[in-house]
Amino acid sequence: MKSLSVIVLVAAIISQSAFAQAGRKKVDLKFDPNVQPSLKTQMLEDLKFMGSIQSTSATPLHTRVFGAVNGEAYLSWFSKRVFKVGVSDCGSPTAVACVMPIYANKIWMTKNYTQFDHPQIARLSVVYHEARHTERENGNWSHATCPTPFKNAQGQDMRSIWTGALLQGQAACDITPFGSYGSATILLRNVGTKCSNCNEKVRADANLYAMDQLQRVTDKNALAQMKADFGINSRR
Amino acid sequence: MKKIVATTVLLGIAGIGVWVFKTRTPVSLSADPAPLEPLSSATPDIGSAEATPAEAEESKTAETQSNSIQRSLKAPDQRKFLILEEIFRTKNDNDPRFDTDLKELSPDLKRALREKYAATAPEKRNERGTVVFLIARSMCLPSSEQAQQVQDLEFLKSVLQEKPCLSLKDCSKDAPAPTEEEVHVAGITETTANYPQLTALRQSLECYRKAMGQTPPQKWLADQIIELLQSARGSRNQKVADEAQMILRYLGKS
Repeated sequence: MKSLSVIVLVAAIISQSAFAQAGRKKVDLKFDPNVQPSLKTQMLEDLKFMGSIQSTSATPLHTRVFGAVNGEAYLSWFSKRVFKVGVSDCGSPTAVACVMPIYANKIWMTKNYTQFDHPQIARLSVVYHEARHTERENGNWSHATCPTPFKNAQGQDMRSIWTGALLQGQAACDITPFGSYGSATILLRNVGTKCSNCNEKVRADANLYAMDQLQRVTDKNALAQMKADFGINSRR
Repeated sequence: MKKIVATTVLLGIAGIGVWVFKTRTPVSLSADPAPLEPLSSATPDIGSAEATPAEAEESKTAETQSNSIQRSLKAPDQRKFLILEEIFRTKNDNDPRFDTDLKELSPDLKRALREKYAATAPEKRNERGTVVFLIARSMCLPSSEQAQQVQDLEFLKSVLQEKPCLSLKDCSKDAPAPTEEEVHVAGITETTANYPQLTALRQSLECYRKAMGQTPPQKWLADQIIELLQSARGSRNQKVADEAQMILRYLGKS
């Protein structure tokens, strides 16, 4: 009986480690039954693209957060954080995805994921931004309050261009390179500058959205660290 | 006997492990583009499975217009146009044919792309921005002739002069009242809302660099791009005006 228990245990370990080995190259997601087929298809296709990325280098900050700039690293990172996908309106008519901390390791997608015509890398940056929020061990990387006043590089108030709402005082900034805005920016910048099998449009898109997201990192030192990591001077 | 039982149990557990693994939802790493297919209303369109009747009607109209544009082209350009249509349908932006088949664009194909842009719903920000990207990029190729560059610049100018898209759901209608979550995601949403214009500006900057980096520099094209950026500074779209100003400042031309 004792030897049988040992055999069962060994077999379980072998099958699980074989699965884990395979799991590093694949994403395992359990979709809620009410997730629209088109949304599921789009998400899997987008992650398939993510999984195909190749590069021979990464910036130091990227290495620290994600590892290499390649598909295996990206899917492994994602699969350690997100196990389940549900649908929700995320409390906003413009949201694409969100995380609700009481539901561990779950990401909630809205219909905007397929209905809004975002570039693919922009969609993925939102997904990876939200995946970062699943990290309970890091306080879900809650956002910092944007400073008051909150100005852009041109000295203008940062505000919603549609509603005019000021961003100052809102919980919509990061004071570390490693929060959700920071880490998504690092991912975008590295895809934009180092992905060797991304076409010119994808690289241009990644750089465009990276520069936009960088504006949400408001701590002077964090910002300087990221700009140095990206090899850009303070003019951009 | 004990050994036989133990081996059987071991194999059984391993088999269960494999079965559990296979029933998950894997994502393969393969990213080969799907084979080219002609436009067809039967072709599945990611994202449209739950379309409302109005959306389905709009989609059908757009398809009819695209078919008409496609038929106005000769065979090699038709093929390129179909490639672009396929990329829009699959939403796979990283199709390698962007940098091969869709790099050199004939004047006729550019004419078709401009028509495509005009026929594309304003809410299709990525599709519109992609057309802008392709035209702006081809404008800068060494093989591009000045007469064609004039047309390309006019197109970019018209894009930059468009009124702002007020929301991704409906460009003509104001965005809903802000929520806490809306502020959280506003950056990405607003960049996408201005994606065609920001692409026009960024690609203009890239083109300027290339033009000035050539031996001898393409001075005429570089000057035209500066003029384009300067006119964009007066845009009624504040995001466009700010971005144009930032680029001009970066180039030391403000």
